[in-house]
Amino acid sequence: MLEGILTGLDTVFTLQNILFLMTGCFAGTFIGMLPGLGPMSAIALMIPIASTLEPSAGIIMMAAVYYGAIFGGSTSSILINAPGVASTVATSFDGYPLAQQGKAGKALAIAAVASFSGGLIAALMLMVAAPFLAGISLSFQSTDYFALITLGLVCVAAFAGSSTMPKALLMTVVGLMLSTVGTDQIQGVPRFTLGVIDLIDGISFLLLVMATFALSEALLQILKKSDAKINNGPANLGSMKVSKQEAIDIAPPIIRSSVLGFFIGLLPGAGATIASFLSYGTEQQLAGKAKGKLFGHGSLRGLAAPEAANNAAATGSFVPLLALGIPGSGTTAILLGALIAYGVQPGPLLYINHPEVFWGVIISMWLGNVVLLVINLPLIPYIARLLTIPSQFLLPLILFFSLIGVYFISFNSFDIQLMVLFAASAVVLRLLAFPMAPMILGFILGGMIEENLRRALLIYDNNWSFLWERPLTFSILVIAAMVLLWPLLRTYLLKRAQESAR
Amino acid sequence: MKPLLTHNRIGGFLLLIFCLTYAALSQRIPSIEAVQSTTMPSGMDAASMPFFLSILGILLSLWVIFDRAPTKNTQPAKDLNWWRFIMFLALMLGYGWGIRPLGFLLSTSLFLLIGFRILGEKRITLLVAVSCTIALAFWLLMSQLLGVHLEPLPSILRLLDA
Repeated sequence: MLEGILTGLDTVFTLQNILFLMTGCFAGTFIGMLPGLGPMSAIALMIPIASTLEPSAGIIMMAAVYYGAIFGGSTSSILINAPGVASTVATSFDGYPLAQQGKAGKALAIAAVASFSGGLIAALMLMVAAPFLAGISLSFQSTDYFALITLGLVCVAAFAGSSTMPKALLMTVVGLMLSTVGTDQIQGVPRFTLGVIDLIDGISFLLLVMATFALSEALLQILKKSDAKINNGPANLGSMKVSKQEAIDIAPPIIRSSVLGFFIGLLPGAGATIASFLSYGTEQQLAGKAKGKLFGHGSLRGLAAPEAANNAAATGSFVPLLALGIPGSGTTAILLGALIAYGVQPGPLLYINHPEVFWGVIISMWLGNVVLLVINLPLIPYIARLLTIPSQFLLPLILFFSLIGVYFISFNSFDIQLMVLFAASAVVLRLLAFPMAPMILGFILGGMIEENLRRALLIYDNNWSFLWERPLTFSILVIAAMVLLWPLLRTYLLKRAQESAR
Repeated sequence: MKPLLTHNRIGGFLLLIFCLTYAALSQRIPSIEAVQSTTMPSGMDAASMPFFLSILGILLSLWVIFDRAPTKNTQPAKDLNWWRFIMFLALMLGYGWGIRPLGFLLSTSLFLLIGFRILGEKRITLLVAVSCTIALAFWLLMSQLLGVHLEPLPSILRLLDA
């Protein structure tokens, strides 16, 4: 491992990579602060620029954009009670009351320190967990990968909650369907190309991500009639100082939430949002009656816990991505797409073939968190001022960056037209409350699941028995089935309990 | 009494149409017997996965349509400015068509200018200044710093140049 860490240090500590890392952190913070634009849009918007870089520099920058966006999201939660992303909703519970009490500076400082600690602790755990899991996964076969991908897809839908589960599952299938467009990998026959030459290579993942996230988000804001005035937040942030007593008070919640966040981040589909809410609830329970009552009214613990947890979960979600090559969330799915575009296949072999990418990303997270704390925190008041760009200028600019970002890669104006089609469909579906993240995950994993299933069938002589004869595959599939059936079963049991109570 | 047309039903119905279209189009994929070039016989051919997905998609759409779980109607459709939305779709399509013949600088300036205008900015000098500056600055950034070549001028001028 020491050798790996040295490789990582060697990769990260070049002037060029540090610059890209800082650019990523800054851009991520800024985009994450814009209402509605979360980490997924932030990464998608940066891919065109990252794609001009070499793989390790590009992926370091995109990882920086990721945690920068989470950090930026918490800033807008605290200052203007407008969480840019779901994972920072819990931050606004106590962060915004603090800002209203004139303690915005302190709230920002605590959020930054908590994110920093969460990121740092989780990066440490990542350093141990990823190579360990990569080592184990070397013995995985296509059949196990097929089962793992199925589990990942099912989890994302299941964690969406029982009422949205059918919709999330349907969107996953739509994503899988879109992934089959283009020339079939093994037989070489065109599928669903409708005779259009531009579709022979399939739909580009960047195009789909950009259309369904950045573009559709901007279009949704254009669609909303009320030109709501953007709340600029408090003019005076107040002192950023945190007293010694306060630091001692928030340290245990930060450590607990970081560990919790990391493990939740490992689970496919769970991610930063669930981690932040869970840690908030846990800390409220642990705080005791007197301090627990403060939660929701400006409790420092209530601010620190979800901040540490969401950043730790973001780091944790890199474990399945780096070690197995299977993303557990929409955001890591986009990163996977970007890596594949570089010709770098994440998974156990990444650890062997591209140690500089593997370790570079891990080490860069340490440095990235320092950058966020030391450089971004003092800059927050100035970045917040950028939020005052009037929306009539901002929205067309977001549209332009999304369109040109895709055009840059292909230089094909057909892509712009396809994007408009997808974006319009995404707007309609989002208005009807259909989730987009499961579709992206389905799209990215679609090719992998088909390839692994075909390979498995080849190995097992077209016999489907591997599904139940190979213990590992069978166990993973059983877990997937349980994850899928549990929300349905729970709803059914609750209903019966209610009926019998009547 | 629950309304018949909930958001879930409308969405489910739209996606059912999508899945049915997908299923119909999947019939056009040549099967394994038709493609003699395959050297490795496999239980799965190019049409297997789409076939399976079609069935799954149709079943799930029906589930969403007939699901009796309570649904929230989040956004009443009448508060939305569809006209502005459609104008922007047209603007983006126009940008896609115009970017090659008009060149990057002109098409981008026009795209931004019209976009700002649709969203309510009326000061002409500001409109022109902001859109042209952004287009030029972005072109310089991409071509000079990142080395991405974009044709800046309209194709007619390029012909004259040649």
